[in-house]
Amino acid sequence: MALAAGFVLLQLAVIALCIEIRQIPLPRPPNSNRIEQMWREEKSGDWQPVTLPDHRPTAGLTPTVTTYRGAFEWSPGEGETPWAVFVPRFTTTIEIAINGSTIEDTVRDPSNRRPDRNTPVLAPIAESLLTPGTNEVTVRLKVWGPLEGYLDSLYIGPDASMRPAYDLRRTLFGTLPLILAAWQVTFATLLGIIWLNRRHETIYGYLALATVLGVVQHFAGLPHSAVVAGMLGATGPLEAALMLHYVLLLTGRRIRRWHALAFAPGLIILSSAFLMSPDQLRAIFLLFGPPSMGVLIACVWVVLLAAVWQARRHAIYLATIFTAVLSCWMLDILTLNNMMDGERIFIGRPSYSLVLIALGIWLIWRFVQALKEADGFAAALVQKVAEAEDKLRANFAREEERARSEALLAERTRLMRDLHDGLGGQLVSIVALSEQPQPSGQAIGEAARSALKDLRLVIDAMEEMDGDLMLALASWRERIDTQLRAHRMQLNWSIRGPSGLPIFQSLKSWHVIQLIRLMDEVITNAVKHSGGRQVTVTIESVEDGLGRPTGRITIEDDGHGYEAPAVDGPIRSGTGRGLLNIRRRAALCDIRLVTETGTTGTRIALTLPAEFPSQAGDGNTGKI
Amino acid sequence: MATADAQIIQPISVLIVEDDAPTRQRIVGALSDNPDFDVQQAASFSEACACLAQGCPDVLLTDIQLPDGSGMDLIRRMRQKSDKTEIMVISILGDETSVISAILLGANGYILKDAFPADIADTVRDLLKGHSPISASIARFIVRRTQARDSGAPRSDLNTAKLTAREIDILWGIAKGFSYADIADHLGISRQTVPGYIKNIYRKLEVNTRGEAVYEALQQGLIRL
Repeated sequence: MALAAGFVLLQLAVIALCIEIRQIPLPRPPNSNRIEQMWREEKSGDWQPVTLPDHRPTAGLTPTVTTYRGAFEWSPGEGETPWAVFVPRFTTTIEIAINGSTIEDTVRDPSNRRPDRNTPVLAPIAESLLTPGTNEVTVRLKVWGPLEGYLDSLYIGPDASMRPAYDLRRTLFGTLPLILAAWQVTFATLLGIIWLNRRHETIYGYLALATVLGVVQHFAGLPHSAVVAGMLGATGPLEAALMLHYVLLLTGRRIRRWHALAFAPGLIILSSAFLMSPDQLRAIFLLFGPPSMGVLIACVWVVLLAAVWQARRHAIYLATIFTAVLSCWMLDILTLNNMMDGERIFIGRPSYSLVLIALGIWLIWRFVQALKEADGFAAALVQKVAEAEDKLRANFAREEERARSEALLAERTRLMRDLHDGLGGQLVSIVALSEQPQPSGQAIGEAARSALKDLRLVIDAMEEMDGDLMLALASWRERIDTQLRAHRMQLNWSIRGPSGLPIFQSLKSWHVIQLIRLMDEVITNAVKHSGGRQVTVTIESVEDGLGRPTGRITIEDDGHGYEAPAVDGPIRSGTGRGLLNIRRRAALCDIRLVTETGTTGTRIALTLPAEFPSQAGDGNTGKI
Repeated sequence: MATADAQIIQPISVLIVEDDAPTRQRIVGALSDNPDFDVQQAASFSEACACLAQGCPDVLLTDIQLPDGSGMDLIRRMRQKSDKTEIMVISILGDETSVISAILLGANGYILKDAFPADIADTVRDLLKGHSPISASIARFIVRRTQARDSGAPRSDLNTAKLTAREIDILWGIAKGFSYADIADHLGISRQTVPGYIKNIYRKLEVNTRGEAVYEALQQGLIRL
């Protein structure tokens, strides 16, 4: 209730303010220059005295002309400055003559001298036209259209005394509306661009079109043809309909199909301009033009009031603006019907221009706010994305850390397996050997050497070989060469072909360890049990059953073979266990093992698989 | 003739620096059996320095980790004093890090601590003949660094730029287990020249500026191997 009361008070204050503004008197030249008493020609040659300002009824579309005649005194010495005639207000056009010579005819400047513009006229008088003493001034008032004829007082005197009043009126009623119109053009362009790029926001489109129509109205001159008059007449209802749509959208209502009916009166007038006679057009304009505008403006008002009722702040702002415009228009109507004191000044049109601009500012402000909100939203989004990224990065780092520790654990397990398999067992064996009642230095030394050999093997196998088994075999060669030399045996190392073995893509370090340990067992057998003096290792490339490239390693000795009787006692069991281990390791890596043993020596051929098995399995973890 | 005899009779002076007494005794034993060698031994860095102060031996065999200093430092000092002395590190595993670090500072090779006595004596003799020992894994390491430099990916401070294509081929052959004879045959060179090539490779790897900076960088692991 308080809001409603406040609203009503505000509207009343606005109305009062408008009335007050309308009452501010406009400046006039000194009264000494004023001519109020004139003669009006009623019929041809029949002159009647009349006091200005004078009203003449309109005669509709056919122009009527009323002639006024007056007199003024002039002496040559009086005027250092030139003289002029000043008419502050008239409708529709006037022609001014001094001593029978026309000095001004406003019909020649129809764009500037529209009757709703309050445009004054200041016509300089050539000195040659004046005669010392009494001079005659004649004013021909031409009246047509809907407005009645009107002629304010005439001022005749030195130009300098008229000029201030004329200039001020010219600024208020000529320049200012032009500035407002230019402003409207700018806003119409801005709003139009916004609408063209954001078609779904039709509110910008409605206001842009309404503003364009306002500009058209401003720049259109006095219509001389019925079609142009009809088009100009249609702009008012169309503008009102656009304004209604704009306000509907602004107050958060949806545009329904039947809302398009608001455009009907404007369109009817427009089509009548093309299809019907001027008289019919005039009738239709009077029927549809002003009443429909009234109805539409009332609708705008109702919509705004409803929004005010719903306590929408911007509706209060808009309703107040509309109240101001409506007050101005009401004052214009009062003026039109001679119910207002003071000058016959129309203020509806410029106030409407101001409203359009105010609405444009409001809308662009809203647009900028929306942009700012979007910016804020984008910034918030960027921040959220950054936060999410940070979280992701942290997760990734954690995940990486976990993967790293898992890899480390796997590596540790693998290393433990490898060490357990060889080095661990050998170290335990050394401990056991040293704890025997009579420890054998040689046995301990051999076990320790085996342990060192295995340590080197594990270290070598940890290096990435990229499938090149030759690199591992090269290190192995150095180790067994030393081992065989210590037992006074000779190593014959033979690589067939330029590069030896092919590259094995599937080769892993555990394959290398298994293979090297396998070959170590073979060498150990040869050293301990063969009785031979030479070991020959042959490395060559072959093809497997499927034609794929693979390799073969052949190790042969020149001993007496496994089956031959031992020279120094029964040590067969060691050989047997060694052979068992060799077979197991070969099976783990899919290595095909062919053993040939006889009295002239033992030959073990290892045909490597083209694809090493990928599954590490548990087989290679056990102690073999 | 008398001069020639004197040269032959003149024993080869060897300084062995090793803190572990049994290991030291073992290496000393491997060389002392032979009258060609005049063996001196030191159990610590300071003892070794005292020996070096008396004169430069023909051969220096040194462990890397000494109780009161580093074998690397000893190699550096030795090289600063004399270009003629042959230097070898005594390594447990013959691993690339210790061997190549020593080579950068001017060593000519290495022996394994558990090598058989006969092999130790042979290695030292070969070294004096101009043959530097190289293992397959050391050769592989150097070749890999060469490739890394060419591909530009993982940078290495090991200066392999001066190695010729032939030297790299020889290293590849060794890395893949080919014998010197096989390598010589493949490359069409004399078998006897292969060991000389290897000594040359070592010389090229040696850091010429024997300043403190290189040593410090190696000590602190700034030079990546």
